[in-house]
Amino acid sequence: MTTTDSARETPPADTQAAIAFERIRKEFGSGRDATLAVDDVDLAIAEREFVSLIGPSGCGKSTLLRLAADLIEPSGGSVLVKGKPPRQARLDRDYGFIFQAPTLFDWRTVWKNVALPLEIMRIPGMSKQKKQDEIERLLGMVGLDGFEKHRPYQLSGGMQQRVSLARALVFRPSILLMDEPFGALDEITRDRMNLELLRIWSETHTTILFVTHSIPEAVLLSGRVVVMTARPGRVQSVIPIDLPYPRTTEVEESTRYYELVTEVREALGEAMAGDA
Amino acid sequence: MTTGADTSGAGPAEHRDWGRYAGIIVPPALVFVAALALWEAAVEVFEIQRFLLPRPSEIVALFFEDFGRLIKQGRNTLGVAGRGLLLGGAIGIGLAALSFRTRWMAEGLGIYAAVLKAVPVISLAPLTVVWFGIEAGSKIATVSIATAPILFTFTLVGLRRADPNAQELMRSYAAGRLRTFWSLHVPYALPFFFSGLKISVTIAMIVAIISEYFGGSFENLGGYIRNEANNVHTVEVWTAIVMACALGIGLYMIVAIIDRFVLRWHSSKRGG
Repeated sequence: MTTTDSARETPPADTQAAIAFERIRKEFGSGRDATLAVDDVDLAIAEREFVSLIGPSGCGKSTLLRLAADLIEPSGGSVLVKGKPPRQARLDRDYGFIFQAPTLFDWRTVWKNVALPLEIMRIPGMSKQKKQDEIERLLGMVGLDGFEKHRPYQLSGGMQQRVSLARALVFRPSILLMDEPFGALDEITRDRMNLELLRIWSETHTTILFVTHSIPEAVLLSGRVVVMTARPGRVQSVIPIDLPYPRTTEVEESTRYYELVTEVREALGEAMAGDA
Repeated sequence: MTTGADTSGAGPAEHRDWGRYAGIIVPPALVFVAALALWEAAVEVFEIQRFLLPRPSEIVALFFEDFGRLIKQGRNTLGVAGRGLLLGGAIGIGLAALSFRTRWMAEGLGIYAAVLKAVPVISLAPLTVVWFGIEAGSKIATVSIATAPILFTFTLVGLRRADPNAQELMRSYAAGRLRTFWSLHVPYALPFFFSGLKISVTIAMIVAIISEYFGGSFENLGGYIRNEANNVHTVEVWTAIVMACALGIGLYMIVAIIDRFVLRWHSSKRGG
């Protein structure tokens, strides 16, 4: 399995990568039952970059995300998040993690769900008024004005995931780690959420590492698409998406978009063939 | 008031609620009244002797006549049951909170909880008398021993039920243990805790009466039953049973109402 030149492409030395995986390896279990989930992955994500990880199930894309989030520890190699070990980045609240399931607390209202991180983190210089303004602003941003007092179970799947997004943004992390956030949504909702995410990304200047199963989604959103192979998960190729931002639905009708979708699909096909 | 069949309709919520409550209350009430009538008739027709099975009408009459004393005795029994439940709850919930994160601890304690639940309370009552004396102390202890393992088991299951994603979410916020416990594990444990509490309140009443039956003061339901039964005052015994039932059901309903209110967000309580 060879990686294309761009796979080793790292940001210029003077700009620190937001996330840097170096020869990362992750094994689950031990002894004979051990499975190698991720092997020898080098990947650097620049500040404010939008990178998607795509690949067959079991290719370790979620594993990479969880390694960066310090939810699991690598078996070998190193991860740096904003130049720090992931544990330190987690303690510094450098990233927001978004799961495929909205993971909202049913006993809290929408407002209180978004407020949760602020309750836990004591953010210096953030007054009560400022917190309230921020929650209000974010609920507006994700299109949930008027739903403050609703409970999560009263909302549709798409709306729940927007609450989850607002909750991840409320403490202003500079990095968003998104684990198939729209994977459980219907096509129409998903399209709309994608466009909203692009808008939010451009407004908040965050770095996004995005795990997905959907090729069109990856192409529409990302600056680079990282295609991975399964068992063990390795980087098959990194495909730069040279579609200009800001992107709208019109992008999806351009020839270049189709070419890129095809390119990713072929790379993915190769990755799957290597698996078989 | 519509108690119509269309419970999914767009009618005002309280109307549908009343309809639902009526549906819950009316059928068992009818069965109860019918059973009493049948009982009354059976005593009459088969000429059953009074000390074997008195008529319900006689029991009811004496119940109201003796109401003042029965309430006083009931209050003493309730006090024992309540204090025993508080102590048992503190022990059971405390141990669950301490052990739920550590697998070997939770499972180790779980075995003893299971053993304790299998022990017949009657065999414990004489022992606690030896340990804590003949009066309230021993009875409170017996109630605690009977309820602690129940509340331990239910609370433990609930605490360990917290959504793994939500646990990771808390971890990603670098939330402290205590914070995660209160904000995540406790809400997950509450529905289970209330299920355990509903079982525990009735058991606490039963165990309190059994331990009172084993000795000590007569100024409680168990002691009164012992005394009157020894004198073959069957109607008196029945009035004490009625009071014990009323208190047990009352306690259960208080817990059920609190449960409904506290957990109105929970999927089992949303109704509709």
